[in-house]
Amino acid sequence: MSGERHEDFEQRIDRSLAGAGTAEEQRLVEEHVRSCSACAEYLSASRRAVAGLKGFSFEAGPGLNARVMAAVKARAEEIEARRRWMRLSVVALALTVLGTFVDLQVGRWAAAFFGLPSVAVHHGLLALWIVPSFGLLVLFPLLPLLAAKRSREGRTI
Amino acid sequence: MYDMALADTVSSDTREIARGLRERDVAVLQVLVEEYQDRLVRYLVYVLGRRDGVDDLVQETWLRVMERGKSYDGRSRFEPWLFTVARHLAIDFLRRRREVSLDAEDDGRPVVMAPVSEMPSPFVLAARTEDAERLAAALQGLQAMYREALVLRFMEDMSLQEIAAVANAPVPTVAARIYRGLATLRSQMEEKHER
Repeated sequence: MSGERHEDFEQRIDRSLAGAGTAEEQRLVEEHVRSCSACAEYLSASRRAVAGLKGFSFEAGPGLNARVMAAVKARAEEIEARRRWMRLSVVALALTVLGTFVDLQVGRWAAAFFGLPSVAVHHGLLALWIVPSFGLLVLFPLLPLLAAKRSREGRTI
Repeated sequence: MYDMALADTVSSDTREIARGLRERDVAVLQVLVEEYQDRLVRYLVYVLGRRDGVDDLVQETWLRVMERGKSYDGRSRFEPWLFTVARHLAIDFLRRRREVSLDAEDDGRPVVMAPVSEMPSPFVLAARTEDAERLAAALQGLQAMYREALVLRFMEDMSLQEIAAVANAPVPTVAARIYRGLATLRSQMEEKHER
């Protein structure tokens, strides 16, 4: 048999092992190796190499799963806490916007209705509503960052 | 606590995995860690050609899986997606240490073959027979991209399309890597046979 033909079948064997061959190619290879000792040895060496690969065993070190899960849980809690503070920040933002709207649109009308000076209503709304909710709006996103920083410092210590 | 019923559901249903990752369900992640940990370790050992540093990369991989789990849609197998995440982290790791490139052949950059580690080769350490020792030497001499193609094809039983997706390379390139990797290993087996 010519070397060219062997080469052709060796390529088919490679394709078949790599999962690139067709069913027809597979059938041709099987038929061919029954009568060609060179290609049969090629296939056999390839199969021994693949089987040899499966002989290597690599496993996770002791305690790795526990370490991974502890890190995953800590990160999940961190993300959840961040989301919780973000939700509160959105509420604070809504309160700030609402307070400003009330001050601008309803304040004068409320002052006239209750017979109060409009400046007093304006200052009251600022002191009791707008400034506190704005303060919370600034503070809430900072808290998880401060907590993460403290946690990192704790780990370093 | 490890939930056996959940483990059965998760291992048979990729949509359940996708749901768990979307909701950052720690119980689902625990099942995944238990089920895929050894395979993830093996993949990273093959890609890096070393054992040290693998545990840290494994941990980083699971944290990344939890953070970016929403991008897994459950319509394909979980393994290729998991190994893609691990691969990106492995590339960063190798870049930081300026060691071998996983894509050198494709992008034309020179392949830097710095000594990957002063530790003994993980393949040599894992070899139990004479044949395995010969294969271990061949594996250590192979470039990372060939070892990666071999482990995904013959240990993970992935299709060429799945390997191409993990390796971010065209299918013919991936097939060529398998042929070349296999040829290197086969030459070791044939040498031994000829003796």
